[in-house]
Amino acid sequence: MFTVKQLVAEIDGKEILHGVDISMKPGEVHVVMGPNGSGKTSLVMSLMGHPDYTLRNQNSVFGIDGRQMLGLLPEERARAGLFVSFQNPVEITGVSLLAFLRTAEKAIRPEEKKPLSDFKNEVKKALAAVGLDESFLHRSINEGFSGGERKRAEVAQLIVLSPKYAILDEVDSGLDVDSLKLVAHAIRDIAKEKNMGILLITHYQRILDYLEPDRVHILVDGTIKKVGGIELVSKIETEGYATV
Amino acid sequence: MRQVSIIVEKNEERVEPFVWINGKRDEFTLNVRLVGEGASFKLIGLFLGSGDHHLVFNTTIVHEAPRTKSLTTIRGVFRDTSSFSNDGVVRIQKGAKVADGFFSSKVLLFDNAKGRSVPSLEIDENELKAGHASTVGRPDPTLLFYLQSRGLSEKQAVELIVSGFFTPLLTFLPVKKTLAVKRKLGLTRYE
Repeated sequence: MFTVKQLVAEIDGKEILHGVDISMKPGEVHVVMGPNGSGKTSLVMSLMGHPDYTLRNQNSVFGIDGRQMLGLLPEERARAGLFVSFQNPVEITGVSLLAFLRTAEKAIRPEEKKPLSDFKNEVKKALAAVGLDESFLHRSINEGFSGGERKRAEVAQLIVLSPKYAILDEVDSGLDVDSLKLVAHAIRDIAKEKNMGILLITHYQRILDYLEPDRVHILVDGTIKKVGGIELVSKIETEGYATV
Repeated sequence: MRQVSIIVEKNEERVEPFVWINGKRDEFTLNVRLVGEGASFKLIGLFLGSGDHHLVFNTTIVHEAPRTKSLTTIRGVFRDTSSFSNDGVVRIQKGAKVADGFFSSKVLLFDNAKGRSVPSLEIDENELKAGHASTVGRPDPTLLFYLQSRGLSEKQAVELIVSGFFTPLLTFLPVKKTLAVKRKLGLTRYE
């Protein structure tokens, strides 16, 4: 289970999240939608343990399979099975995607001791699943990548690291129609194969045509204003957030 | 203090790698004169300091003849209380027409390390190309967070950033030197 209860978070002394609750089972797809500035990225960053966010409420809970994540370092959360795809993935000069993923995989699953050749094939397959060619194995992470390529590379990393739960922060922004379809299918396939829970942060309805959500959460002003099914999405699409 | 003087003759192409890893308290001065037409000089400086090591590294490159070229590339990583000081002068004398001098330095600091790198161009000729780029700073926290979010400890994240910082420079070094430097920097494990 992925459980967020009464999450209160602040940045620079300003409270952004005022008590957020989200509960998701393995294999489910949940969507968080909300207007600009409603706290979506703050939610993502506080769940991953970004040091700029402080948690205010002692009753706040973020559990992965019953284990409290709050208070843990980002890498400890990653090792517990959490993954975040970034809205703006950073560039790292001189570090190839393969070298980085190999280091990450060893950190997350030290017991596996997979031979490098097998691992390399997995990364190649993951790249192919999101429509990136093999040259990306040896290119510096995100350096000189287009906006769309960065999003694809994030999903390729998701596939390789296959966490228990993934939070995807606007993974669909900046993708054209065909890329979106490809990337959404890649996410759906890995989620199904690994029984992964997906928390999707998005502004758009389109990605939901391929990734059918079990639950939709509407975040407004740092609180979940409404929870429902896919019908909520079409309602917002036509009437806007004001009606929620 | 150690002082090295180099003279580059007509149409000569010279590449000078300078690698300093955790040396003692050191002071180096490098004077380079490009005296013949078409002479070219490349300086690759790679510095890694930790503990209480201190390094002063000063360079003066003088373009004395037409169509001479110089490129200085410095990359330094300093940790703990180590420090680095660099003054890089590129002088283009009158008559060194169509000379091309460029100085670039990037210094990455951790912990309480200190660093400075100050390039200066002294130009007495009108027909030329010259430039400099210098940055001294700490690693971007968003980089560290990104790497940590993928399971790397802060220490592993720093190692990866440092290895990536030096990697582009290694291609300029002679093959034999590259391997030795990679081993010293602990870069071989990522291959």
